[in-house]
Amino acid sequence: MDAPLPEFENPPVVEVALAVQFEPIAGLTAPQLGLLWAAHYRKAYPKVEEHAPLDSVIERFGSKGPGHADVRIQMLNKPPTPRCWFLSDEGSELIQVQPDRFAHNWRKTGDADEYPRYDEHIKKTFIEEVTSFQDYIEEEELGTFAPNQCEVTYVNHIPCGTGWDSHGQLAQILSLGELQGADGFLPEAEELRMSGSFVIPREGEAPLGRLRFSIEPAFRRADSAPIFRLNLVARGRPTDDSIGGVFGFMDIGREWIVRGFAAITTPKMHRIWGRKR
Amino acid sequence: MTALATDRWLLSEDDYYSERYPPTATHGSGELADRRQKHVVESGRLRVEVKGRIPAWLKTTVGAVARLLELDPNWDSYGAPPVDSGHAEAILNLLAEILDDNAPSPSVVPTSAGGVQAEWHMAGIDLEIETLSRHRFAFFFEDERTGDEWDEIVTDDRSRLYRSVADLVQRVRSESGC
Repeated sequence: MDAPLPEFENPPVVEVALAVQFEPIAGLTAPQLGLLWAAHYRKAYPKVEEHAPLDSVIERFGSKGPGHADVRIQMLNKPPTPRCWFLSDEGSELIQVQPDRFAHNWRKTGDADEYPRYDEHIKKTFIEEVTSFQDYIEEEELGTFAPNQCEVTYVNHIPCGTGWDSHGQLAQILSLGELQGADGFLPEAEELRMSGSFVIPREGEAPLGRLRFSIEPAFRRADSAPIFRLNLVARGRPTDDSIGGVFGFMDIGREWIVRGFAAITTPKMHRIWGRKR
Repeated sequence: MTALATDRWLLSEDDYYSERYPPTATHGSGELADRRQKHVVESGRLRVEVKGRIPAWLKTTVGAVARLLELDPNWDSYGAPPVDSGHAEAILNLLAEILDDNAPSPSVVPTSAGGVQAEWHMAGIDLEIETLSRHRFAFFFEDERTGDEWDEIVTDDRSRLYRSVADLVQRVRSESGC
């Protein structure tokens, strides 16, 4: 994939998140999360919140297992260590840490906000923060930082009036056929939603991960305006066992998201978003 | 995605809502709600929430794993650590993924590294799965009738493990006449 990445003047992205999941670090208890915050993040992220930890997620391949028991396991001997949020003053940037996950979210807070570019800001900040996290784990001898999964997420809000007028007009946004059928029996859909996934292959090896997308009708809370919410998530294994393997996947995942976004959306929307290449 | 606030993962989740059509829901909300009944199996330090039917193997296996979690350090008198709760969780999650509702229950034993091993020795097949970490398992299969034998480390591609478990379940069923 040597062709330059598609680029848009005004992409509809409202949030980007990079996350790394690792084998649980037993020593990363709630007090240690507080010390980590004070040592590395408090200055830039002065606000804190506690949330329930997220479940571990791994992309699996091969045929599906025959089991279909939907189980959720909980240990009763101790409460789970929380997922801590370290928030910037404006609420536009967030670090999330729990014993098996580290994430950084960037969010657009106003119309004038520009999406911070991946290479110039997002990736650079993430590398600095994950590296300082890893250093802290090693210095405090809390355990071993062993990444097992990486994730890149882009959230897009596509408001009504920008190329579409009703939640049934998904085909204006995504490159789909019309759903009314050739005989025109069905009226325009009342609403449409869609999700799908693509395997990210790796030459001569097991697949690296998956690109998942979902689009659903929603309403903007601020003004109840109809929107479509298009999420793209690239998730998979680090490209090697070092911390560099985490950043290696981030580059691949981001490329899949950007190319995937351009591939599944229509030329009409590309014009509206100011596609430059 | 209408996650609970405590499960919130994205900052922008507060910026929208997605109640379905029609807003009054008089013709049905359009939600594909998960209406499966929720059951809880509790044993010792373990609480397992199951949506839908409880698989036949689950209760005995949860009980057995819970007992392993009670083991003291040095339980083998050779300095073994206690069973790691993450490994206990991992083996139950894996079994839920690979076993169908009526699969035979495995025996579960502790390993000297603080892990858990699930094993079946029946109908001429030996199948053993040992937790190495939360997402990594060592797997051994031997069929004394066909001579097939392999062992491998399983991470994200579990195809061979699924096939081996399917062979075991099929053999046990055909021999028991079920």
